[in-house]
Amino acid sequence: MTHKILLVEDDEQLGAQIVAHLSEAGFAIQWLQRGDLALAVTPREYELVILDLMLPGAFGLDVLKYLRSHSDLPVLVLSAKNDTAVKVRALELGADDYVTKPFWPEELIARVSARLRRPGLERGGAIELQGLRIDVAARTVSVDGLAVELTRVEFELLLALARRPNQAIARAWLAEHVLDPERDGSERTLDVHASRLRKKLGAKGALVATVWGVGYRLQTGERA
Amino acid sequence: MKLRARLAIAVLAAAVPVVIGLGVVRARVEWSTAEDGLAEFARDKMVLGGREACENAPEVFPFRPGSRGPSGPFARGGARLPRDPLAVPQVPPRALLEDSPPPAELRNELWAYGPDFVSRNREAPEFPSELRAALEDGAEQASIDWMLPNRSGIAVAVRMPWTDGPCAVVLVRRAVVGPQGAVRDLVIGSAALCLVLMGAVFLAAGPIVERVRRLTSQVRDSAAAKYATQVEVGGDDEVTELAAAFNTAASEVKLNLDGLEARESALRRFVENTTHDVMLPLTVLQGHLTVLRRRVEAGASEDRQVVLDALQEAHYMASLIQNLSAASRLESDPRGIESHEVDLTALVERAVARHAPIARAREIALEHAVPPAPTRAKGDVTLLEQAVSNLIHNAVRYVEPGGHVAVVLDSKGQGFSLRVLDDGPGIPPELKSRVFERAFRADGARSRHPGGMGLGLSIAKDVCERHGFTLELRTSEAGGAEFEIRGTKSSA
Repeated sequence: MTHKILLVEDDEQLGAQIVAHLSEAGFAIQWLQRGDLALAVTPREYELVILDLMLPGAFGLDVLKYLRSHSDLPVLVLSAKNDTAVKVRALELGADDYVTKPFWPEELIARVSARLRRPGLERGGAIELQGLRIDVAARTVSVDGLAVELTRVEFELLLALARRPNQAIARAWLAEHVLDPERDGSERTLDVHASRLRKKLGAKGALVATVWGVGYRLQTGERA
Repeated sequence: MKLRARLAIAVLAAAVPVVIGLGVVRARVEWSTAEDGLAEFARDKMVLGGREACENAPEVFPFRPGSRGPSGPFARGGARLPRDPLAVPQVPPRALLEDSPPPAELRNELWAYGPDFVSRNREAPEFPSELRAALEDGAEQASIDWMLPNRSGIAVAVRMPWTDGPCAVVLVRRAVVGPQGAVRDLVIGSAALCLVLMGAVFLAAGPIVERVRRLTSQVRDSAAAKYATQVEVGGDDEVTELAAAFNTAASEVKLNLDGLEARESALRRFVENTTHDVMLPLTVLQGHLTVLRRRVEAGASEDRQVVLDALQEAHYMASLIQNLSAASRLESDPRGIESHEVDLTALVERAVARHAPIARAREIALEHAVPPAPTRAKGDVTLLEQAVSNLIHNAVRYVEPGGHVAVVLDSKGQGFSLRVLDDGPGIPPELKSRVFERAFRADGARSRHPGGMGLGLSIAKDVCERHGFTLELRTSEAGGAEFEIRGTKSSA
């Protein structure tokens, strides 16, 4: 699915680079070079706006106000001045995030992706990821259609990871929210449960990745 | 206006009305003396024979020259009034007026009138109506100005002790002696008074003027010496108070000036260091790019390591400039921070995203985890992000390719914990206590990557302390470094 992004950036070179990098990353992008032009767009045509604050034609913050008053689409602010007051003002006016110049192209793409990221798809009380199906209501799990018997802790662990796929989840958080508080709640215990879960998932066991220094992640191969 | 000129004008302004007032009083006194003198003269004259002469021949009284001889009442009267400072007429007034003997102006002229203010002598002047009104109101005597062509005079009407006959009222007139003389006296007197007053004022003001001048010159010297010198404070008057006040103000100014100079020199040093710190990586970057260009021109495939080095150098420079900007903000305000609601979750994601491209290029696994719900704290988002970014950058730089860096934000009760850990070489125990020092500034040994990132870690420490957070360094389970920031979440 192609996301349509509006870029408002007056600098020729930087604008062209951003357009090139985002297009390469698979986004459809429209580029405006003047603030006053941005004040005439129809916000609901876009899924995200990348907005430079220093613009000819209109104040960046005014453009932000305009976008906010017409829609709730995410706005990512580009700021050259590493100035707390400007950032705080932009966030207060409803900006979702900001990227400070200089930034790497990957950095910008990561911020855009993070804003467009949707929580793990949970349709009809079930999560489906690459042949792995978790029925949240019935508390059953199947791999490629075959049911897998999980303990309560293993199921909770898998569900916690599946709700934020491709994001590392800290061991401490998992230990607190997944393990039975009545029993041994240490992170070592968690590792034992994770190891058993992997085995039970068989071919899909590799989806449960250990993340060095952090904890675990359900890895679907898509960009996080 | 100078003090002396002001004093001179003040003296004049005060003296002139006084002198004029005195002149007026004196004129009044003289007038009244002259009126009384003339009235007395008239009464004496009439009582001592004048009445007889008048009533006997009112048509011709007073006597014309030669009609009765020199033995008339005037001759005798004049001799009998030695106390009258005004000369006594020796000849009848007509002679005075028409024959003009020299002493004429000093003579009294005397005319007699009946109770109806009409004289039997046709030569007599008409009785002045003001005097007539005054006498009819009951006055025994009255006087008015007697205007003559070239001078002024006085005319006095006197009621005689008898009420009837052709000589019941007498009019005596006399020219006033030297009116110019009186004015001259007045002018000379005023001038003398002013001179004396000014002399006194200048004598009194002189030392003050002198002290004010000395103070002025000392103040100028002090200002020229940037208020390092004080002015001398002597005596116990307003000038002393002024001098003392100046010294107080000068100390204050000097204090501010010293602070300003210290700050300026710190700023200058800072800019010099900054220039050095920025120019060095820029030079290295130029070197890398030159190598790349040569290899590309020679047809060689691009050298991965050179590209990576160039990327890292650019990344380092960006981080350095952010740090210098943060350092200048921290130095300009030794205690404070701007405090707002900061979303630590977003902050960690931004800081990780910032270094992820370089970590990937160096084949280092940079991972992070944040709690599902936003975790917030009060603080300055720019400085906190810079602090976290510095910890991450430090780890990414020192971990070998293939190594790991993890950033973990945990929410624990009322607090939060933000850990940056790696499996790099770690920090030798003997350096752990010094790792937060701004080493490469303190010892002047400005090797580029001195014992960790001196500036970056010292900024991280400073920022945490200002926020009331703790920043601890320990050895990670994998033997690398583990930095942990702990603080309180905001309740919102």
